[in-house]
Amino acid sequence: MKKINWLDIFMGGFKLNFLQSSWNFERLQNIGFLFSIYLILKKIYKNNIELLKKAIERHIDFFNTNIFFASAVFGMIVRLEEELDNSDAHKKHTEIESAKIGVMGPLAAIGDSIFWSTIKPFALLIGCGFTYLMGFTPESFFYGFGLSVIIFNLPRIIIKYYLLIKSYYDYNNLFLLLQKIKFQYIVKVIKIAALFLLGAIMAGFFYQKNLNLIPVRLFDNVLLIVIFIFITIALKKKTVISHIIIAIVIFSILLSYLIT
Amino acid sequence: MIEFNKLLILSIVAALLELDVYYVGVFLIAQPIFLGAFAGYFLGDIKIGILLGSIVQLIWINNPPVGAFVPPSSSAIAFISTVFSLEMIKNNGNLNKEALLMFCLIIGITAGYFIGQTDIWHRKLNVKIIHLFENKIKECKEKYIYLIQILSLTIKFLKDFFIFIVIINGIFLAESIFISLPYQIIRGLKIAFWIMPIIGLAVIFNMMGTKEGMRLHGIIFLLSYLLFYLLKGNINILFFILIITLFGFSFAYVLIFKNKKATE
Repeated sequence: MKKINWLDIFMGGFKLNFLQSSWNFERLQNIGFLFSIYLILKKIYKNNIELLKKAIERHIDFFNTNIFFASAVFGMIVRLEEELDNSDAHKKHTEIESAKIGVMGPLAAIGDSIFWSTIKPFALLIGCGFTYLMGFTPESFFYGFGLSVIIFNLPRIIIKYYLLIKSYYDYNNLFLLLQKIKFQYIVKVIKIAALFLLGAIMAGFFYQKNLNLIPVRLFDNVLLIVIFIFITIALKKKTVISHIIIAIVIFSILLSYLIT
Repeated sequence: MIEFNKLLILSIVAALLELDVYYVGVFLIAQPIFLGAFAGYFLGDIKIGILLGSIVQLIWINNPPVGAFVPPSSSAIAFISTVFSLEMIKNNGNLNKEALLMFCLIIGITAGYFIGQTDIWHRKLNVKIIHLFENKIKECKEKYIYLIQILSLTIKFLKDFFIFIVIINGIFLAESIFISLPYQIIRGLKIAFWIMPIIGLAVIFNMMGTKEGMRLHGIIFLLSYLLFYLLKGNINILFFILIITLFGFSFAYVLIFKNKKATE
């Protein structure tokens, strides 16, 4: 019997925006998840306080996944809470616990590589590309930042709510769906397109940039490319950004003393 | 000295936006480019805010808020460096602008790392807060879940707000240090600032680097440079970026899915 409706699911999904509000080093997003699911649990177990306590106990435990893909875990757990038989509380507890642990990890890996390593940098590269090429003007900011926000938030909202609905109404086929979508290819396509874009942005930026250290444009551009290669090598060797910045500042000051 | 009401509004908005970096939503509205532009607009020179914001944005783009990793606050770096730069320029118009921006960027970076460290302390404090109310929650006292969430967000907001207020009050100190710097250091800072955007570009290159993509990047770079050179920079940037992006996607799609079919 259905105990909750689509509005409860949607509200729970919306509350997932606060998943990391009380992030902690012990059980990570546990309170955020409990915050999102609590009203639904109350509806499911409205006549049985003991079962509600048991449900709270399992959801106050460790929880960690990608914040946008968390909706898939949420939808699936809500469905299991609603659907599984209450007669054997221990069995229900174990089943939900293992389902939760089983999905969190893979979804975190997919979500992080899609959003944090691909879509977000790509969106912001477009934003910064405009500002770099249009000379840091308000117009460049308007176009660039506006596009960045749209490029990042559109897939985020679509994926989040699609997974929420899919995982609740058709949770058995959730993993089949995730397997069908070739995330690794999508990531690769976006990364190659980003490098395309980066090549064009770098060309425009290098063309405009002039230090006048030696008043020859070509010298400036070659120097910039050499610096770019050095920084790339340093990053490949896992050098921390702050160390690179310190090295550049020291190098620049020494260079300044040498030129005098 | 920055006016108190301006300082108050700036710090409140910046601390509120800081919540979007990790704690609420993550809609991308608290990115350095936005906070830099906001501070710049508020203090009368949006261009400097956008400049510093975009540089910081690309340098710290590879700092995702994933798991237990707590990165330095790049939004705070952009915000503080913009406020320092604009206030110092306002107080003394004769300062070397590029060197000053680099100097303020260094101050911003230090502040950003400090805010990152305080975020670690905050998350440790959250563990204690949760322990304090855990039994109540287990007894189905719903309000304690809300209390923990609200408490955590309030602590984060107040922490950042006070840090911004305290740091921004140090502008006069930064100004007197900058004025006393020898000419060679000023010129060194100017050169360093010239190099800063390149770090961001290298970070993206390193982050997005795939075997196929790196080769294509080189080709597109050379072709685009030639185009800029031939047209003397007279290019519609909006059109140019859109065309390159579309072309990049189509090319990458064909490349990847052709390879996929071949391997299948």
